Formats: sequence, C-alpha cells, structure tokens
Amino acid sequence: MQRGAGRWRSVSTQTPVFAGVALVVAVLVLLPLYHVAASSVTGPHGLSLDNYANVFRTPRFVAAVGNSLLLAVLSSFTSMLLGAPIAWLVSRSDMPLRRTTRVLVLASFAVPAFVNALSWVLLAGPNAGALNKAWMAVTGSDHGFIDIFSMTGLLLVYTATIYPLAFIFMHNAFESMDARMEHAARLLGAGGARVALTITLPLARPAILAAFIITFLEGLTSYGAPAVIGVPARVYVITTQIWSLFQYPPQIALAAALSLPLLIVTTALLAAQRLLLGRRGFTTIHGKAGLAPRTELGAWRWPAVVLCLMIVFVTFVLPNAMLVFEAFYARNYGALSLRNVTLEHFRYVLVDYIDGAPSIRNSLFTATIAATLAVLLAFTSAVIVAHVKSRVASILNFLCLLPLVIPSMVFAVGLVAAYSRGPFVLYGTLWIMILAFLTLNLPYAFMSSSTALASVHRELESAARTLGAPLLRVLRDITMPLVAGGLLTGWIVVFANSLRELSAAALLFTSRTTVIATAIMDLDYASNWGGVAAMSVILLAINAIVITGGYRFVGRNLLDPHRR
Amino acid sequence: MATKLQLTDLVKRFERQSGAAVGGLTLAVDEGEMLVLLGPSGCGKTTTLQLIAGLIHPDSGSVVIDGKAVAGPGWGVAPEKRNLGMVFQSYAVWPHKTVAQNVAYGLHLRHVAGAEIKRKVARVLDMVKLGGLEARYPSEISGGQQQRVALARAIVVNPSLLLLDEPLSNLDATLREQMRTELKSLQRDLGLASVYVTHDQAEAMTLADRLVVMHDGAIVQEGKPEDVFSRPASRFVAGFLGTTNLLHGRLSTVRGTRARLEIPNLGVLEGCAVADVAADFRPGTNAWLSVRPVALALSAARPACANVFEGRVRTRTFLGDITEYTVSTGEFCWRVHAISSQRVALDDTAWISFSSDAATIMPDR
Repeated sequence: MQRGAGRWRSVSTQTPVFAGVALVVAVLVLLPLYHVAASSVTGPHGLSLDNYANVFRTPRFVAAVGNSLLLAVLSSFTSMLLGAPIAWLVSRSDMPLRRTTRVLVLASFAVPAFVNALSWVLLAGPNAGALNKAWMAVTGSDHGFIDIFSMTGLLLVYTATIYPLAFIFMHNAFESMDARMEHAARLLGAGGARVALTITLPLARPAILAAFIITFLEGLTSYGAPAVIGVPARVYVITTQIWSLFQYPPQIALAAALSLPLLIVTTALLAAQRLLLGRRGFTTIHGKAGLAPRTELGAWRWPAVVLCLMIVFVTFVLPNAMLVFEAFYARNYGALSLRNVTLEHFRYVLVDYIDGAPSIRNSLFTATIAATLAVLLAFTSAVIVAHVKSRVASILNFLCLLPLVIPSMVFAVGLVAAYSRGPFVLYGTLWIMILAFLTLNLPYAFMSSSTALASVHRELESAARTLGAPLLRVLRDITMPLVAGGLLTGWIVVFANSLRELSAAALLFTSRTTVIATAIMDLDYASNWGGVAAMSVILLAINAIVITGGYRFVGRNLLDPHRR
Repeated sequence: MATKLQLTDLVKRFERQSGAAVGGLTLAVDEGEMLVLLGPSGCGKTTTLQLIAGLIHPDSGSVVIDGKAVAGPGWGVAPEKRNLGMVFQSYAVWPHKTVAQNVAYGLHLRHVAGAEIKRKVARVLDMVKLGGLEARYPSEISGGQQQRVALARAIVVNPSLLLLDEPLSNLDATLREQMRTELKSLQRDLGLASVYVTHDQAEAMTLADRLVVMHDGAIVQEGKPEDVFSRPASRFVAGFLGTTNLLHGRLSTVRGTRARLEIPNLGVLEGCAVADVAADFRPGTNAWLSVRPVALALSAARPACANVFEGRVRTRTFLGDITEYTVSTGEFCWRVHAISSQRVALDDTAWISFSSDAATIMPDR
C-alpha cells in the first residue's frame, strides 16, 4: 500500500472520479452476468440445479447443443479452408488484384449475418428462390436444385459470413511475420513453395489454431443465420432455443441455464486463444511484411485470382446484388424490365409499415447514444489505466475487455434478468437496448482509445505541464486532439455494431422499442420480401455512410492534422 | 550570486526497485549557471530532473526554486506552477500544433496579449534560427529543427530554470556538435540558470559551468569540468570520463596532496589527489592510481623522470591524429596515446614515463 501511495498522491484529487468510473463499468459488465448465474441456479424453492437438469434432459435442447457444436465445427473448417488460403495469397503471393480481393472480403464482413441469410433465402428458397427459378426455367425441372432451408444451406451461410473472420486473422498473422525468417530460408536455397510450407506455415501455426478457435466461437454463438434459416428448416441451435424460451410464457431461468455453459465455453476458449497468441512472440508484430519477398505463383497467378474472385462473388456479390435487386424491383410483374424498377418497397417500409420509421429512429438513437457513452467511458477508463498504476486500474482494464467473451444473447438474458424488476426497471425501454450495445462494444471503444493514448508520448503531456498547464487543460489541449482520431474510430465501430446487432435486440425489444434489425425479422416472418430487402438496404446504407464518411474524416483531418 | 535552485537531501524510491533511485542528493544552481548532471543510465540523473520539474515528488528532502519551497517529503507543487522551461529527449513537440502554436502555448497560458505573443514568438524563433517556419507542422521539419522548436518553446516563457533532459541524444553527430555550441552561447546570452542531464561526457565537458557526476543515485564528484577530468575523486569517475590506466597498490608515503603508491611487481609510482580525498589517505592502506593514455610519454631511451618503466610494445592501433599502443611491463598492460608522427615499432622495447602531476591517486572503493 505504502509503495502504491506515491503514484496515487499526485492524482489524489481525481481518485473519486476513478473509483466512480470503475464502479460504473463493473455494474455494466458484471451485474447482468451475475443475474445469468443467479437465475440459472434459482428454482421455485430457492437454490437448485433443477434448471440445468431440465435443460439437459429435454431432447430438443440436447439436439440444439448438438446442432450448435456440429455447425460450429464444420463452419470453422470451411471458413479456414476459404479464409486462410485467400489471406496467404493476398499477403504473401504475387497474385494479381490482391487489393480488390482484400477489400471485397472485408466488405462482406460488414454485412450482418442475418441480412446475408435473408439474401440467400431470396436466392435459394426452395421454390421462389431466384437461382432455383432460373434452374427450373432452364432445365424444365419442377423443383429447384438447392434448398437453403437445410443443414447444408445453414452451413453455406455460416461459411459465407464467418470466413472473412478467418481471413482477417490469418492476414494479420502473415502480415506481421518477420520477413527475415523467410529471407534466411531463401538464401539457404529454399524455393517459394518450400519456404511457404517449411517456414511460413509453421510460424503461423499458433495463429491458425487461434483462428480456428475464433471462427468456432463465432459459429457457436451465431444467431442471425439460425433465426432466418434454421427455424423454418427446424434445425435449432442453442441461441434460437434461448430466444424461444423468451417467447410467452418466458422461462428466464431455463434460458439462463442454457446460457451459462455457453459463456463458460467462450471464456475458456478465448482464454486459450490468448495464451496461444500472447507472449509467444511467434506471430506478433516483429517485422515488415512489405519487405518480404512475395512468393511467385508463376502459371498459377490467374487460376488463383479467379478462384478468389469466385468465392467473393458467391459469398458477397451475388447475395447482395440479389438484395438490392429485390429492394428496387416490383416482384409481381413477370418479365425483367426497367419499368419494374420501383421505390414502392421503400415507400412501404418508411410510410405504410407501422414499425418502419420508428425502428429507424430507434436504431439511430440507440446506436448514437451507445457509441457516445461507450467512447466517453472507454476513454476515461483508458486514461486511468494508462496513467494510474494501481490495482483499481488493472481491474478496470480487465472489466473493459471482459465483454469480448460474452455472447450477446447471453448478455441480453442477463440484462432482462437484471433490469426487469426493481430497483431499475429498464425492460421495455430503449435504455436496456443502449446498455446492451454499449457494454457489448465497450472493448472495441476501449482498445481504440488505449491504442490512441499509447501513441501519445508521455513527454508531450509533461511538456505542457512544465509550461504551466494544469492536468485537465493538458487533457483538453494536448491529449484529446491527439487521440481524437482514435476516439472517432471507436465511435464508428460501436455505432456500426449497434446498428447491425440482432441477437441482443431480439431478446430486448418490445412493440414500442423495435429497431431496424428486429423490424427486418418481423418483415421476414410476414414474408414481405420487398420490405425485408428495402429495410436491409437502408441498414447497410446507413452503416456504409457512417463508416466511409467517418474514416474519410479521420483520414484527412485527425490522423494527419498537418495536412489540413 | 543568488541561488536559483537548491536541492537538499533529496530521496526518491520506486516500486519494484531495490535501493533508492536518488539517495540523499544535495545540490545548488546559481543564477546564470549551467549545471550538467552526468552519469551512466540508471544513475538517477533523469529522476533528479523529474523531481525538480515536479513530474514526480520526493520521498524525503526538499526542492527550493527561487527561494520558494516547491517539494518536500511526499508533497510537491504541481509542475505547471513552478515556472520552468523543459526540453525533452523526445523533443515532445506537439504534432497537432504548428511551430508558432507550439512556441506560443506557454505564453497563452500566461495570458500574454496577442500582439505581444506574436512579437515574442518571432523573436525567439529568430534566436533559434527558425524564422520563416512559423506555419509548418512538426512533421514537415527536420529532427534538428524540432529540437530548436522544443528549445524555443521552453525559453520563450522566461523560466526561472531551464531543464534539459538529454536534448541532443536523438541528433546525428555533426548536428549534435553544432547544437551543443549554439545551446551554450544561447544559454550564456540569456543568463538562464540551467540543469542539463546527459550520459555523453563530451557533451558534459563542453556545456558545463559545473559538472556533477552521478552514480547509483548519489553525487560522486562535482566541480569545473577540467578539474573533474584531470583529478577524478574516485575510480568510477576516472573510468567514466574518458579512457585511463588504472593501477592498484598500497600507499607508502603521503605528503599533502602528493602520495606514493607501491604497485606489486611494478615499483613505486607518485601521483596527486583531490585535497579532501588526500586528507583521508593513510600509509599502508590500498589505493588506486589513474593516469590518462595521453599523459604517458613513450621513448626509446630512459628519460630522467619520477615514474619510469621499461616495457614491450604489444599492439599498435592507428586512430588518426593519434596512435594507440599497448605496452606491457610485467603483468601490467599500459594504454598509451602518442601523436601519430612518433613511430614506435611493434615488439620494440620502449620506456614509459609520466609526471606525478598527471597521475591521480584515489581511495580504494
């Protein structure tokens, strides 16, 4: 205590502020988790494990766990099968169109899974799907060739939405690898392919394992595709079962008993993944990949790029083109004609559809408030963690990153349990939605704040202090302008994630608090495909505008202030 | 002369570090004086500077600036209230402000009027030879120019004390030498009391009015640079300031600041010591003798002199103006620096000699 006291003393006037921030973060993150755990072991007569017994003796829940695991394992394999080679080709080979490929894969990551699933319904629904219709027209067959409402269909959509994650992970691993290790092998006489197989791949092994874990968890906690495709196909998974337990009459205790094991699995696996990547020094940032000799593909250059573009076409271009087409096309007229291009679906969702305009308002409101609060809280926390060396600071650091391991659906279960009775009844208001978006995205805002702060050399602040600026003035004049770019980046990430978040919203929304994502699902249940497509396009458009606009602003003004 | 800064028995300990970073430091800086703290990394010199700046506070002892106590055991006036100018190793020039905005910042904080700010900024930028670069951003100027911005920013507010934390260590050698000279004349013209921290002995020698050598959180010697160099008070100082020949032996006679040292297998050497060090010498105790390679004369015939040895030339390294020889006499190997025009052949026998004034005797520590 005595040794820590010296560091605290210089900031003693701020101590209550620090403690307050830590307390707020702790309540935000831990209270819902506590309620998940508590409700799962609470029976009608007090403490009991009946809920767990009920869950794991009910065949449909057991089947859901089996389906979840199966889909997660399969989709992590298929995702790695697509993502890792593309990542290698883009970062390590001399394949043409590397930039285009990368941009397209990353863009497909920006499309929420449930929107991708809905596009696939439009493409490959058993009878009405565009691909199947085309097939029937061409072959004269009386049924289509592909049914999206199946395990295979589900796996297809899982893969299309998860493989970009494998790509990002492997791309970072290949990029941050020390080029000199490959140089060394080359100088000893190893050819391009041999270097890739004997040096690059083994070096990337921890990253590969880590990427498997990440994609597995993404599949395990996925809700969008199972809700859109799994439910009609009667392939249920854990998340859709948790959701079903919230339908009338709600059985929160059972949902909690199904949620807690999921939370434990995600926590354990992410901890394992951290161990794999952390401290090993293997794939951490050492060298500049730009200096690495790119492997020359020779005759394989063009087949490689054709394959990459085909994958991107099927997983990204085709479904989104279908979505846009559906949004702007009057469906009931037979022939393809420019005359059938229409804004009627947009008119419908914006004017006629009762939840349309309110859901957009609610989405913009909740995402804006959540992003703003998250950045404020994250920045304050990051300042504390960076400047105060004490136990409170390291706990705060942990708490701010903890939501990374919490599946959104599990967190939503906790929020309902925590805030549907006193002292704070938030269920049924937009604030419970804001709490969900804010807390689930706190790690991203925190990480971008910390990174930005870390790039501000301590002496830049000290210089202002010795010239006569008090601590808060230093924060305002020096620190804030220098980290503004990082803060805006954090804000954009939280905003975009909030707008596309379905699984938490699906549990938390009520008729008065519907958001765009839940409105789309509502239109889906009503089989209003034009409406689904129009609303999805609105969602994608808002996000695209905020992301590109924001990054342009960041790029021009904040990260590069001297080029004003 | 008025005392601008007085440090008394300053102690600072850090977590996870055995021993004190600064252990009982007492030091004064007079008006217009440039004091240089010199020492290897980890000797506590930067910690001392941070204690003066108020970026950290002492565990005990006191800091007095301009006759006003600004820090004591566990407390300290905030750095912004000490009216200091500080130049940092990383320059710490704010990347989001132009050159002029960087320099003007401290004046704004002091509520100086707009026209006056403009005048002062222009004047100080001329002084550091940055006139015409007012509107540039730091990323658009060179490292040396950023260094000048940092200096201008620190002196424009007319501080009580200028603190410099290894300000030249990020510059290349030529620029460093040039800045060294400019810095010195600027400081002298402005009459600014300054504390300059460095690990570079050449920099310390050029800049210091008074040199303070630090080791393990304590002052080991202070004085004029030439005195410290020619009469080191301890074996550490002798070794840290330039190269030297160190011999260990037993004191045979002590007379005033002169003493004789008996070196086993070599003979008796005569040298001098710093007065207060010599006062503690007792015949029969062990001591060290230091003599610089340049102070040694190499000759083919035996010279008539107090300290003379016959040896054999083992290696010869051409260093430009001078040539370095190693000459062995018995077990001991001497490093000798001779002007290059004097040619001595390898494996030749040669006489080494030095005057007793050129040799310093130091206590056995």
